[in-house]
Amino acid sequence: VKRGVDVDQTKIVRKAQRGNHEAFVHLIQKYESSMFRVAKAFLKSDSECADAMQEAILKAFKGIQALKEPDYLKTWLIRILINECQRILKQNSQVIPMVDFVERSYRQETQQGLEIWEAVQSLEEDLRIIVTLFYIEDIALTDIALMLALPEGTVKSRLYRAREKLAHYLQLGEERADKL
Amino acid sequence: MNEDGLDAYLRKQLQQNTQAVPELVSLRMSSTLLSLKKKRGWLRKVSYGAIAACFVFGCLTTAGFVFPGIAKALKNVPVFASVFEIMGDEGTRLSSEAGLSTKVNITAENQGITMTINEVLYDGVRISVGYVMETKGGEIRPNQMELYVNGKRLNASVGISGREVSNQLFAGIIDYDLKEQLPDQFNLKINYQSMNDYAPSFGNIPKEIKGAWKFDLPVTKLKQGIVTKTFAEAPQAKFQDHMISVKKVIFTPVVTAIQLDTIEPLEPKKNVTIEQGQKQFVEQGFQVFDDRGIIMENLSESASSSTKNGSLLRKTEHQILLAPLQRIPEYLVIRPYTITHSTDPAIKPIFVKARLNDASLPITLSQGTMGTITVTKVEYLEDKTLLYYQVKGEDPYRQADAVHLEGDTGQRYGKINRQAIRLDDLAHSFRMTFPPFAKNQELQVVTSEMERIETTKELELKIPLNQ
Repeated sequence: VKRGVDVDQTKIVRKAQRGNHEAFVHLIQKYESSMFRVAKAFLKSDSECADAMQEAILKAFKGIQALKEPDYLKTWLIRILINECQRILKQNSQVIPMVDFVERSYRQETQQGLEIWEAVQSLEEDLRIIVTLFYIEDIALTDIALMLALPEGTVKSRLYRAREKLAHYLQLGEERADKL
Repeated sequence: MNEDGLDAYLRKQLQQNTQAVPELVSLRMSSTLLSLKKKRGWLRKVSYGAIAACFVFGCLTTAGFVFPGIAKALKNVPVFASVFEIMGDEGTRLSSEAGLSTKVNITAENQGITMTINEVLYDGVRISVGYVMETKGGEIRPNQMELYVNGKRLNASVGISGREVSNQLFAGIIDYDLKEQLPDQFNLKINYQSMNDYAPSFGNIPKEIKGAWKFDLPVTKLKQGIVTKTFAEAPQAKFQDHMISVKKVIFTPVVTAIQLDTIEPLEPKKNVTIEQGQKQFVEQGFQVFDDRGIIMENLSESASSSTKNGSLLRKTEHQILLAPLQRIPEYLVIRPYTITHSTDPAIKPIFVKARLNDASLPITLSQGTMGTITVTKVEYLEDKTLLYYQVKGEDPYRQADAVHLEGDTGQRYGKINRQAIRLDDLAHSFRMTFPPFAKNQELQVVTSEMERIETTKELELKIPLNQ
């Protein structure tokens, strides 16, 4: 037994697969923030994010015994969550929204933080999800392509577009700051 | 700013300024997780299901290791070698050596993947199946399966261990820890419906290969050497709100099985903040000692918990499988333990290394607060290298298993056998088998620092067996 994330996570996943509730709770808590950020990239309201995360947790609880590689727990969880987010988006597209309300739930400590989040929020949904998975969750482009069922080339081109837009937005921010 | 610089800047800024999880979402997550526990009723066993497989690939814990030398032996299974003898735990290994297992040779081929089952062993507690898989490339592992006993779906906890022994050969053992009584003779059907390819080209998500690999095995229960002890009054230990109660002890030539219940409060652990809780994991288990005070090797533990709606207590049914004993002891002693593992990304494993050199033996390596190992001898044989060492500490099997070798370029060499083999109970002497090396090859012996084991002496329980 070595001190280290991967070795211990393997053990914890195995415990969760054997029905250990504490182990499962621990794993979900570990990735709760990541799950929220990914859900938020797809869905507008916090309550929708909670719905998607709740369904993903229930599905993960039922299916964790079928997870073969404990190292891939995070990508496996996020893939389940993305499916739930896409399901909710599909449902939403079938109803006419009463109010297009965006909750600003994040609490930022710095002006720079606010600016960069405004920049991310300003992106189209298909670019926002790539930015969240690639920059924040550190997931490889190959895995993002598999998660979103997209060709890797499409993921790369979307990342390129997102990068251009973010650079442009931040440059404008710097110019604004210079003028003040 | 160039592309890489911009990537690094964006990553840093975004990761430093991540959104906090709103309370609304956090509360929903907590209630969802709690509801998973409440769904189970008091005394209701968790259904393990026919495919409730706990896929425990040995190759995962040994990722990055190489295993030259044994592929050739395994390719000739079952004629020349036995997976049980090479990769089995003490129970399957000794039983196979004693001729108690049934050698079979049933092969199923589909999608370019050939799976062969070559050995079966059933002692009333566990069914073990040895298998070898040959492929035309990729990193293929068994995936989805269904199990049937005499046509009925099997209710068992399934563990698969295995190891890639060459690019196109994977071998291992499937253990079915049984939750129900099976006939003395039965027909076991194993139907694999898919395999997974973990080749790096598929990224972190394996490619599923659908197909059909079907096996039909005649299984016969061992007839001799099985003793079951039940109790008119269950041996119990109580401390504060915790209780342990032993139901049954079964001795077979393959395992020693202890079935017991624990009852404990549901309340969260005190003095641990949520933040701390996310950076650590508390492993709980049982140490078992025989009537000479010798610790027994723990092969596996399975457990299912249940909580009555509204109750503040949780009941857990455990089955502990230990190495077999040559005799029925007068008593066994159970001692619950906990180990707190850090999952903090900031804390990295601490490896302890020493150059392996005949002239400098014995060499003692620290395992931190857990204890030490002392390497006493190395034997360089034609087909393997044998490392002999003694362990000092409170958890000798765990300590003995945390040993590997490294070449001069940092190449890691893992053990060939499933675990270190204990040679002498009292001295805690072990032997680990590695691939063959030249005597002049530069090698380092490596272990790691470990968290100390904490035991609850008040819940220590003596199980009398001489009545």
